[in-house]
Amino acid sequence: MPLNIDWQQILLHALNFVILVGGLYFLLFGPVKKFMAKREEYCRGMEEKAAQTLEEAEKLKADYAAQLQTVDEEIDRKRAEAQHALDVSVQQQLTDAKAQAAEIVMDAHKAADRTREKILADTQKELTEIAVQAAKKLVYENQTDIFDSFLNKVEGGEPNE
Amino acid sequence: MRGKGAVVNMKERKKWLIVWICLVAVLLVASILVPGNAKSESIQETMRDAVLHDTGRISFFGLKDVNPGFISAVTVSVFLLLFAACVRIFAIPRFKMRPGKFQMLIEQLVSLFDNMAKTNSPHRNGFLGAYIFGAGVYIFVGTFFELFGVQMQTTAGHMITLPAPLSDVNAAIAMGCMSYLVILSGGVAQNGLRGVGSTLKEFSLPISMSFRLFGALLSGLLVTELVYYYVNLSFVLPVVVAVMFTLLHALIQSYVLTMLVALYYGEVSEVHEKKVSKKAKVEAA
Repeated sequence: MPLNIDWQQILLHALNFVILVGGLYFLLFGPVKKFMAKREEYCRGMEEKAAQTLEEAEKLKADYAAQLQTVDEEIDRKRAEAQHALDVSVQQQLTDAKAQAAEIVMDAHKAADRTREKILADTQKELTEIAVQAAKKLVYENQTDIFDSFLNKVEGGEPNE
Repeated sequence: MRGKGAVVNMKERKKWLIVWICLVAVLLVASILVPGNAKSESIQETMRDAVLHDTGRISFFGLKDVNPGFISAVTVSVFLLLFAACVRIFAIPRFKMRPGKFQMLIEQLVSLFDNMAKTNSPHRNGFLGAYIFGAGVYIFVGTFFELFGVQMQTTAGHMITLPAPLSDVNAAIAMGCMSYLVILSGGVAQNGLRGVGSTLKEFSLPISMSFRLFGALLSGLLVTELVYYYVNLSFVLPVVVAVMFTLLHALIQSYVLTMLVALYYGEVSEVHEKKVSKKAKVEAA
């Protein structure tokens, strides 16, 4: 054969090469590819997990935002209710105070009337007593003079001093 | 103090430089003056033997006299399989999710050929990836093997350096034909008879692939033989020639053959859409 081509050696080379390719596939290529696929799967899993966690976090954030919104509304509502209750209470107290004040004023007026009437009565009584005293005084003064003149006349003497 | 130290260092360095130059000069003169063994064969015979291997044959375990290229091929295969077994037993079970340097190197090597297969052949690329991985590694390490200069005794009794396996035409033909068969198998597996047809269209492929490999690697071998044949060319030049030729050939030939196989495999295993018959077209209209 030209170029020293030998079919037997070609087949031997082919056999050697097939054994090498098979051996490399089973010992190196396959296991390394398998490991790489496993790592890819692992990374994909981690990525999915991260995405899922992120999604959950986003959802949680939205929930919290919604809750915060609700809480704000609740706070506003409670504040409005408290304000209303306070207004009502203040109004009530004001009304009560007014009523109480009116009562107090009325009582004061009554007391003043009573005091005035009493004062008037007392004054009248005092005036009556003064008048009686004055009348008595006048009466007794005249009687003394009469009695003295009587005695003087009786005794004939000098007016009794 | 520092200036004095620097002067001492400089003197020391100069002394070593002079010693080295003297040693080189002595060895150079000695190698030229001392007569070597008479050349057993002329340059023509050396180069003819490098191509044909009809005289420098080696006994394969006493079973058969084979070309040195076959011994190289077996040596390379045994080395590669032992290396793969060591990696399989000791390294792969310790592979981590965050790879180290060695793991990254192995993974890059595997993914290089796997991606080449996937890129050039979208269909049925699992087997193709394994094949071009084996072929690429074999060509690269095989070509690199000649740099080690492993010596063997021929049946004629003289010592020869084992060449790259693929510088033997038989190895190149085996590789070319195997690659062609792989391409053919891809065509048959995907497209049946149509795949056979499209593969057979490229009937010159095994010859072109074989002789491309053979020619490329043989040229490196011949240049190296030529350089080493003459003593005058044996200084400095072999470092450049051997390393450059071998390394470039190893890289280029690995890339070329694997890329060609992947491309042709992808072409013949391409899914062809079924032609719509005229009747069906009319019915659809």
